[in-house]
Amino acid sequence: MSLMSLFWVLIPLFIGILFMGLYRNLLVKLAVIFGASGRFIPLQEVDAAALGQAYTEEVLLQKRIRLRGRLPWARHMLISWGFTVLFAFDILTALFTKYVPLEAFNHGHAGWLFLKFGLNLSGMVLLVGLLIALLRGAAATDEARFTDRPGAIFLLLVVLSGFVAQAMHFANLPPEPSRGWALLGHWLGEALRPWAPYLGSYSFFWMAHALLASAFLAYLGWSRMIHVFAAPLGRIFYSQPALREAKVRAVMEGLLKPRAGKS
Amino acid sequence: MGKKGWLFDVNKCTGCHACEVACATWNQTGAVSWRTIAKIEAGSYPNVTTRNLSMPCLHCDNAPCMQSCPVAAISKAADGVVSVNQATCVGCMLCFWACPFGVPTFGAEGKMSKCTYCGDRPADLPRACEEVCPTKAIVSGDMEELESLAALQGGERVGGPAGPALFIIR
Repeated sequence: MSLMSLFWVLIPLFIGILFMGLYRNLLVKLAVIFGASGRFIPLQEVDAAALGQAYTEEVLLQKRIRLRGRLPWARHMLISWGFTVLFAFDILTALFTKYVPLEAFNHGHAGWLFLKFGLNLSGMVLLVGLLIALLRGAAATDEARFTDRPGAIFLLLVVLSGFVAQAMHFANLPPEPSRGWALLGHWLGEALRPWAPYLGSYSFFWMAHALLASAFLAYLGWSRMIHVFAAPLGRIFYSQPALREAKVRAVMEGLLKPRAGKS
Repeated sequence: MGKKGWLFDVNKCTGCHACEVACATWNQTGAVSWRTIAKIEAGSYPNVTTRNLSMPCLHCDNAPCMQSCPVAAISKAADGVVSVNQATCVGCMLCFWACPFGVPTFGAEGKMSKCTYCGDRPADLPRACEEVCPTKAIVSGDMEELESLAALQGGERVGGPAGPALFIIR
């Protein structure tokens, strides 16, 4: 089996593992919740303003982490937004350069440079966040116990392998000033240029990056990283004060009801 | 080792919140309260009554919080006490929705915290809430002993699929 065919077997496998993890560790858990309450939240009982506020504060701005301190907040914002934007640019890149190829996204064109800029900028943001996380995690502070070190190291390997593969690719190509939009990928490429060509090692690093990235997707569903899906969901539920109060009140009233025959 | 639980006498509770203060003081929970104190008013003037219930984590037999945690941060010890590992907790709050009693609380750091059954108190001392209750409405101890005590006073175990470790006298 060639390396490429192994790659096409492993990618769907990793994605399948992600979905299995999401089923096992999230959907089944949600079923426990709705099974316990015996109902879904009726749409008319949802406080839309509170929902919007929770989405902005908990998901977009992550204000709760800000309460722990500026550095934990900056670290989490850099990682979560870096990862999200990087993922979005990865999808766009696959879409416009492979599946729905458009001329504007051909190598060196404006669309291609835009994708490279987005990928590299978000990758750099993620890299800075991960480095802060690992440095803080290594320090003997109270905050260190909240660091998901295995997850951070795994993601760091994904990002670094991506930058190295891209830099090797650029180093194999003739110099092109517009490639400066690729930021760190371009800078690394120029630094590696004296030792080019990297024909064999480039494909190895690209393959390693693709496999690590897909393996990381699988890891998301089976590790603390599942909070990427679970935390926004749970926190948006929690934003409904009327439902929160009603849930507890109904149980309390049941417990406080005098026994039959007692006044 | 016997399973731990609670006996609560609704008729004795005056809703004074001393248990809540003692709990927060002993466990240093700050602004977070690990006890929910409910007051229900009933009847119509002049025959009105209020009934109070002070409720901590009920350390359920089939703890739904534990079953709903996506990262297995919640565990149950041999003595039945349900506890949360804050280093593993990702603060997703799904446990709050799973808990029929809405017990899990979340402080500023976003991690779940709740009654630990005063795990750090010497075994020969009562729980902090129980110790300060002026009317002795709260009793903690082994479930077998609590069952006998509840039976003597006309109490019953609270039912439900979660199996809360609570006997109640109403």
